[in-house]
Amino acid sequence: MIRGLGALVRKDLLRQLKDAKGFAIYMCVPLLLTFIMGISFGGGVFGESGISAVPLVICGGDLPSVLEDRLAQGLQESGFFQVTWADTAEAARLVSRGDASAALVLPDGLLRDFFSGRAVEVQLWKDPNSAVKAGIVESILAGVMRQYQAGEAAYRALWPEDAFPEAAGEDDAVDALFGGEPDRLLRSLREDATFGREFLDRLERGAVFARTLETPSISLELHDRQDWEAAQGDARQSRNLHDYFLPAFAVFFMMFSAAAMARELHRERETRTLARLLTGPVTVGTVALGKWLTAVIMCSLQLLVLLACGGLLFQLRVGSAPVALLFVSVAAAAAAASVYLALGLVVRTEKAMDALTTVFTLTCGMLGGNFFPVEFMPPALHYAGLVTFNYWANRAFSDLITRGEGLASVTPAIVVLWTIAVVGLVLAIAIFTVRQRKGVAA
Amino acid sequence: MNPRLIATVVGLRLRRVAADRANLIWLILMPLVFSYLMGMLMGNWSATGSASKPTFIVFGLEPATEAVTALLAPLADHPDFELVRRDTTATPERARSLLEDRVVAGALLVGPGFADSLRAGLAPTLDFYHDSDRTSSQRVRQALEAAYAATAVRATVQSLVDPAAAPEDPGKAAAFDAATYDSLVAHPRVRLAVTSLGRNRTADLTLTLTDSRQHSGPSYTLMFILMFLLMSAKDLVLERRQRTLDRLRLAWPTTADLVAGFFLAGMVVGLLQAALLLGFNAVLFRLDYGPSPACLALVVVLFVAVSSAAGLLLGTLSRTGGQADGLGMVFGLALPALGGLWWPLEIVPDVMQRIGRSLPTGQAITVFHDMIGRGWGLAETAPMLWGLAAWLAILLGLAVYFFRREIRG
Amino acid sequence: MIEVHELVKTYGAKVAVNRLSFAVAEGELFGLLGPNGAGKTTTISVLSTLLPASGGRAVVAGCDVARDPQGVRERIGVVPQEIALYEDLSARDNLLFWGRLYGLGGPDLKRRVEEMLEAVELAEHARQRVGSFSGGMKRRLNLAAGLMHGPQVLFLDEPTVGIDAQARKKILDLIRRLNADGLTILYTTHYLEEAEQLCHRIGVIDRGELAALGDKEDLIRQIGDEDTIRFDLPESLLPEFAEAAARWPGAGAVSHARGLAQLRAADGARILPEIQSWLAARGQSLAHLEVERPNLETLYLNLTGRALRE
Repeated sequence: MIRGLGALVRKDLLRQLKDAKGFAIYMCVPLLLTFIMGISFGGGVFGESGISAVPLVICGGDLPSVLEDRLAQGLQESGFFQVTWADTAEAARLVSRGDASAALVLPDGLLRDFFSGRAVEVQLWKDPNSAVKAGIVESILAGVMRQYQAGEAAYRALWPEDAFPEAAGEDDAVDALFGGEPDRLLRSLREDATFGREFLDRLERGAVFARTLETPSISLELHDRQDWEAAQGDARQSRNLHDYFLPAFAVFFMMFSAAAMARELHRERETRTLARLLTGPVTVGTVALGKWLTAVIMCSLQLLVLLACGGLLFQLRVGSAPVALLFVSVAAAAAAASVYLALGLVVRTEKAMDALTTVFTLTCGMLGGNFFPVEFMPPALHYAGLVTFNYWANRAFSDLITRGEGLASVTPAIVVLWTIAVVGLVLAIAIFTVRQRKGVAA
Repeated sequence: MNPRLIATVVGLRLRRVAADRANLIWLILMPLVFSYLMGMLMGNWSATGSASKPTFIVFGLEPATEAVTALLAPLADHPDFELVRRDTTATPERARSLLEDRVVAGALLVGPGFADSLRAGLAPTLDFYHDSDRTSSQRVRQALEAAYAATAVRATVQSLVDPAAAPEDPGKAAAFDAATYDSLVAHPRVRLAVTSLGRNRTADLTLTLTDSRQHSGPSYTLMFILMFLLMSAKDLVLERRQRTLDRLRLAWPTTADLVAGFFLAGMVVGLLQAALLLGFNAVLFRLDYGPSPACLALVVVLFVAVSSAAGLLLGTLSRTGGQADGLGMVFGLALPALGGLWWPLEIVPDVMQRIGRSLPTGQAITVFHDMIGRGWGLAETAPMLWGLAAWLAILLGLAVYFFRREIRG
Repeated sequence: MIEVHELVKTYGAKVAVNRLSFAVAEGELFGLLGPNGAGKTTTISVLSTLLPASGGRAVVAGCDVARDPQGVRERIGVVPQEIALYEDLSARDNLLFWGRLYGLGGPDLKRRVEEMLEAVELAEHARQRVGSFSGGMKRRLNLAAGLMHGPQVLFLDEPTVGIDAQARKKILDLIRRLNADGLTILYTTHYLEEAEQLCHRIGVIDRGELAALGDKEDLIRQIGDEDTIRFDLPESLLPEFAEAAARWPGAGAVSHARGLAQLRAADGARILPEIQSWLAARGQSLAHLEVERPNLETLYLNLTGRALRE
């Protein structure tokens, strides 16, 4: 059996290597897609971030120019925004055409209304097609707004008697301040002692209040996984998008390779070489094992070469646990080879197999996290993803490359992959044997 | 050109496509599965609703303080995640491992001495563990921070309450009016009003791209039309290798008839596929393609024509079936990825956006977005439609040139 | 070397091989002759252990195909009707593989490959991809692959289908040489002349049943040793012709079919002048005349009622 198996594997490997173009396609496409991901989203050799600044328009004609400048400068300097000022008509045009992601519309008389205690509504106009960037603007503004709202609510819950000037019939002061007559305000302060004292009391309260809020009585300490892993001594945690995408694409195209190799069984049946093999001194089990072994070798090789290319081209961190990487690659290849061999034997023709494996590969690719991390999915689909072999391969590669883990942490995934491999292979051989007994194996 | 002969070759191609039931997988099944699952994966882009409910776990011994209760109250029925409370303490290691093992999207630790520390004015800390690389974790963090703002301010300002304070001490308040606070937090004076500038389709419906299926539906329709027609290039190679092309050439009067036949056959298949998929998307995912059927029809026809011409060119230039398959796969994946069919172009750098919108895939999906999101019609989308027309002229011109050269040997 | 007894193979209700019995002696070249669909390939598939029999018994090289399929496989070589080779590999790589599969290795394997390449006259093309071979070259290599391990019995399933006369001659010569060296061969074909030229004995198979068995002369004797003369003659003159023919020495039965009169005669050549004179006397011209010697085609037609190439 061993000699026959050796001959079969040698022959199939030789045939695979002769089909250099097919092999090259399965190698090039994942690298190409990873490259596109790289130039699209940044990371690794393409820099830290690929997303461009959010084009933001601000309209607010009657803000003092100092405030306008400070606001624009602050937003621009954050690096997240590319700020322009425009009137409302132009802002509406820019946003509705998609030339700006959002417009922040500050109403006329904003400061006056604000200090007068009147309701103030700041508007945010979003580009209807900008789900992401306009969403970022909204999220940031909403955060700032919430802080202010809580602060104002707290102040008024503490000092309800501190009515806003307008409510207290003091809108003259506000008019004076914002009407370009500060002298009138100063005169009021000098001439009206009660008004002056209350005004100063408010200022003091405001200062005390602001200082108090600077040291909150409950603090929320945020612990980001990135930080604690970095603090653990090395920068194992990856921020390189390729670390996710290349292994994911490599596994996905390895699935296609495994399917193509399992399809060889049908090709051999159609060219009658399978029938000829079965008149020789080998059993169907040996033939199946030969196909499986070849697929394991080629698929492992494909994964390892792709990851090595990723290391060279995209600075993928593949070197931290090479032995674990090898084990995961072989286990993933073994599971894929078994699953596709069993699938191939369930159907009778190459065409049926093509159809079945295409649906299977694309669906598993999606459920198992080859396009998006599985956690993006709803729970039901997330759990469905757990039963796909590629999920475990993706997870193990992610642990090794993205999270810098070692062999110990990927051992459970390796065990799962080998379990799938063994069960699949046994199933494949059983199906093949039954079919031979029925005289329909070849 | 002879319309009858062209119709014959179109009919032949259609019969061959229909004869292979496996084609249904590429034509219909996979695009729908992709549209559905990818839409689900991308989640809902609108402010409300969610596709996914990850877990946000809170560890802390009961009875919780009023502050913690207030903090968690608005998070209890959050649409983006499920709040799970555990009446136990947990170590930072436990929280980290839950995050690392992706069991939870966020973990909040309320320490055992939290209530006492708060009473004693010792500013206790709530520890929140999250993973900034995960969208679900980011959602939890944003929601927690929002709730924290209200709770922390409320708790913090308690130190300013001193009923016995002298009237001349302006920095102290006699009391904290909780009802006022809650009311003002719920109905703030200063508000942010968010509006999407989509065109109102009906009184209830503003056209906005708020659901990821509005992207995934058209984008995977376009992607699979392109892929199917590029993969069909192999058929032309096989026709050549099996000599049926020679036979057709002998039987047919002009090369133009032959080119037109192959090109139109691709168009018919592509248009059928587009009609079915866009129809299914409209029914299953309630997609509204905007107010301009003419614009919808034109973008579909142009994109299908571009894809058919690309398939014809690929089939003419490829020497072997394997070559056609391989190149079909490369272009069939790269063009959708670069053109923004996999993810919206707005999230990639400007230069990539420009590249994307110069490709037929990017032009077609931009027109779809503009129809769906902005309610645009032919006039507004004209630049992109002209772009598609230019691609059609270039690809069809090249295909005809190489096809003629091939036929003349 | 091969014993087949009451062999039956059915596919559901369809009977592909029906109670087939024959034996092939050691060193014999035995032909199974029959049209497409007669059951030849099914018989070989059962004998080479590829298909399980539905009934009956078969022993090949001393091993029962049902009880000891492994023993059978080790002793036989099969050359299928299809070119069952790896077209993306070279001729040498193909032979190396089939040799290894049967346990050959090292210098023995290399020597055997070279021998077989020489034998099938493909040594010059050893490094060439099989896919680039002509039909005849592929057929020769197909044969060589079945011989790599030196089998005791060789099953040849229509090994000359679809090739030109020159390539066919090369293959038939090779088969003769192999048989002359003592190899037992079971040869299936629907080419009558091949069976006539090559085989010691022939089994005529039709619809899964053995219709006749014996050497060429035995089989021909079964239909008698008479020639058949056909010529054009109005049916109205047939009674008169029959009367005249009854007087000619060696003439036999007279019949009429498709506008032609048909006369059986012990020696066709001797009776032709009589026919010509008879026709001339009645002013009839002879536009069509044919004399057919008794052959397997006639036998087959007689046995099955259909031609071999149907």
